[in-house]
Amino acid sequence: MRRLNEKRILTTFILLLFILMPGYSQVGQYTVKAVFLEKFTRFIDWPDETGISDITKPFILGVIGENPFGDTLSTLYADQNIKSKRVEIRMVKNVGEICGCHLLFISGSEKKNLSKILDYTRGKPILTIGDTDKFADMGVLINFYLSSGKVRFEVNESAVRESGLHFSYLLLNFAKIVKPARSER
Amino acid sequence: MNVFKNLSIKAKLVVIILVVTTTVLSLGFTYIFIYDVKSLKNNLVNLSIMNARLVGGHCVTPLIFGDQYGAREVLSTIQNFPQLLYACVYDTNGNIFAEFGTIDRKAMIESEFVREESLFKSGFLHIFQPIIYKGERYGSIYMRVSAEKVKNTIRKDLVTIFFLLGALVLFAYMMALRLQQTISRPILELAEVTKRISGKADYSVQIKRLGRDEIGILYEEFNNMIKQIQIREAERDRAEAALRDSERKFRTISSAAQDAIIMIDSKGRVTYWNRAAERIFGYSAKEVRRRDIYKLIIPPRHRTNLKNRLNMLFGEKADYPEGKVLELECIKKNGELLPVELSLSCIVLKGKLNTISIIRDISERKKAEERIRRDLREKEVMLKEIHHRVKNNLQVICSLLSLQARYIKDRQSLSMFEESRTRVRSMALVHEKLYRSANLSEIDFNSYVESLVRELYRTYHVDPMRIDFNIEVEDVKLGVNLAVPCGLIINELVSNALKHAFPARARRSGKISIRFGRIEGGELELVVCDNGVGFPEGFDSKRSDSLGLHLVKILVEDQLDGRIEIDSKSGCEFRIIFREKGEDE
Repeated sequence: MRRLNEKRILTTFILLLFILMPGYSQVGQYTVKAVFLEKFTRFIDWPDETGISDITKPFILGVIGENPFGDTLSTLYADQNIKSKRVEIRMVKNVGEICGCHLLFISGSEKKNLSKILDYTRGKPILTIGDTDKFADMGVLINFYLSSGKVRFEVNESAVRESGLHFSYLLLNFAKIVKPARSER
Repeated sequence: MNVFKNLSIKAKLVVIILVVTTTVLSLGFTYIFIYDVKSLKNNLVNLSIMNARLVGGHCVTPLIFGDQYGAREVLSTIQNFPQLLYACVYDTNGNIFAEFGTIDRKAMIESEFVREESLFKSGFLHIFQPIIYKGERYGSIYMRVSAEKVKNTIRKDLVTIFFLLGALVLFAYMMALRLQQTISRPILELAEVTKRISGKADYSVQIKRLGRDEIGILYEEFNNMIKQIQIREAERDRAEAALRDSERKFRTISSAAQDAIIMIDSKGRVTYWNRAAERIFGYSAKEVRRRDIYKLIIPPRHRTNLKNRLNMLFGEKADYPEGKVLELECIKKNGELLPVELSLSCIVLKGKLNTISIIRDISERKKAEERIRRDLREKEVMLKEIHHRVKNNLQVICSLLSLQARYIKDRQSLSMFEESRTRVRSMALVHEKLYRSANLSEIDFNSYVESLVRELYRTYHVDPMRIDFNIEVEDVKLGVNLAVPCGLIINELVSNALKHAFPARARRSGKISIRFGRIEGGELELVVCDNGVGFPEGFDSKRSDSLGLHLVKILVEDQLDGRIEIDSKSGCEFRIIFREKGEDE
């Protein structure tokens, strides 16, 4: 456990070095995003029917479209758990395979199919994350963007409400909010 | 403490009330002050911790996402916490992640609040809180808060408390001044009354009772006490008056007394000497005062003896009012000896034995006594002489009768002469016994009877071996008026018996008994009996012409006022019973 922690601290430190490096590369940018994926999950609760509390079953991290992370995801999550569960990386080829995913990264290549994907995921407790402009407006829950060279993210609050996932106010406070859920507040 | 003891009761009450009030108020204010300071500090600490937690909570996301800018933004939101001087967020490695405000880093005391979440030190409040999200620690937050406001509040509080305490103590002082009167006034009043009583000895004063409290009871008891004193005073006055009267009575009696009355103390010194004593002994009361009585009036040869007798009489220290009477001689002032009768009694005064002597001058009485004694002696001598002469005369008569009888040839006449002679002789014997007796008025009857009988035996030439006689006379003393008739009666009866009871031809040995003594009823009984031949037949004692028996009858009936019983069953027995008469009868 101690060794594991040390490893984690070392990894985080290395990653932080990347983050702090100005004008980091494309690969460096996706490393940060890959790390962020786990960090988001800390502020989000899935409903029980998704089997999130059963630690024997894996946390399924789906990537639809072209995989911009390369090997980073599999390397990073080979020995890092999410929500105390081991992580299974699933490369999703069609909408049908989305079923069972806890988190779905929608690659920018799926811009055309986005509405189809979102039709499937809408109202389901699947954390959809993108990194393409306007994705959040279209209904993706979290969307990365770059601001003065730093990775930032925006959250579609209305979509979050619809999804059945519970976002911590800390995360909402930290993110840029798109389509705030005013009517329900 | 001594100073306090000497304070007036007013001052004491005020001091006590002030001390109590000040102590209680001080304790109360101290408690309030401490409680206030604590709550002020607690409030600041709680506020600071709350702020630290809130801000720390908001720093979770910047810490997780490594956004230092975001963290600084979050920290800057605590601007609205005016006491905050400095705040910073540490990451899990203990490095400063973001900070707000400036600080002299040397002054930081990080190591000290590793263990404590809050600490007042060097005029600052240091707050140290971990930043935890869902059970995981992401860093910590440090805040330095100014304690200046708390200090100021405490200072203000102190000043307020000080002035409030002063005002309250002043108020208490004024209240005490007013309220102490309810206790001190009645006591002062009592003291005033007591002073008046002791000053003027006026016990008619009474204090008016004000309430039913202890002071009220004190007043009532005081009044009772005064009443008691008044009663006792009156009693004492009465007793004193009675005592004065008694004293006067005693003085009057003792000065009027003809006997000397002298009182001496336990050491024999004169304490009282009345007028009669002055007259009898010649010393004035002033002269003898406190002087030793023994040296004064008792002759040296009597002193030890008298002292011993006094000690013996009154050895016990108790009143001895009955008195003892002694006769002794005293010395007068002029040296003359004076016979006195001393009656002694004693009395215990103040625990000491005092002797009261009443001395009577008995010199006159002594002289009279001496005169009487001398007269008596003269009379005795004279009486003896008379008896002697009577006896001698009677003896002469006897001798004359004897001489005359020698010329008588007739036997009967001779016998009559002889009888007369024995009669006179028996009377002479009484007088002889009388002048030989001690008191000249009574004779020893026993010795008289014996002498008489022996003489009769001699007269009638009777051999006592032939006719025995037995005399049983009780130890009785008889006066002349009884002794003479009794002697004559015995003379007649024994002569009769010797002459007739035992005729020579009978040749029998006889016995004559004479008994004399008291019988029941206090009467005297004289019995003369013999065991002889008795009366001749037909003899009647009442008609007998014998002079002897006739004489006996006359003597018994006229002289003795008695009775005679004659029994002649065996021999002859005469029983004469008579009553003893007084000298005057």
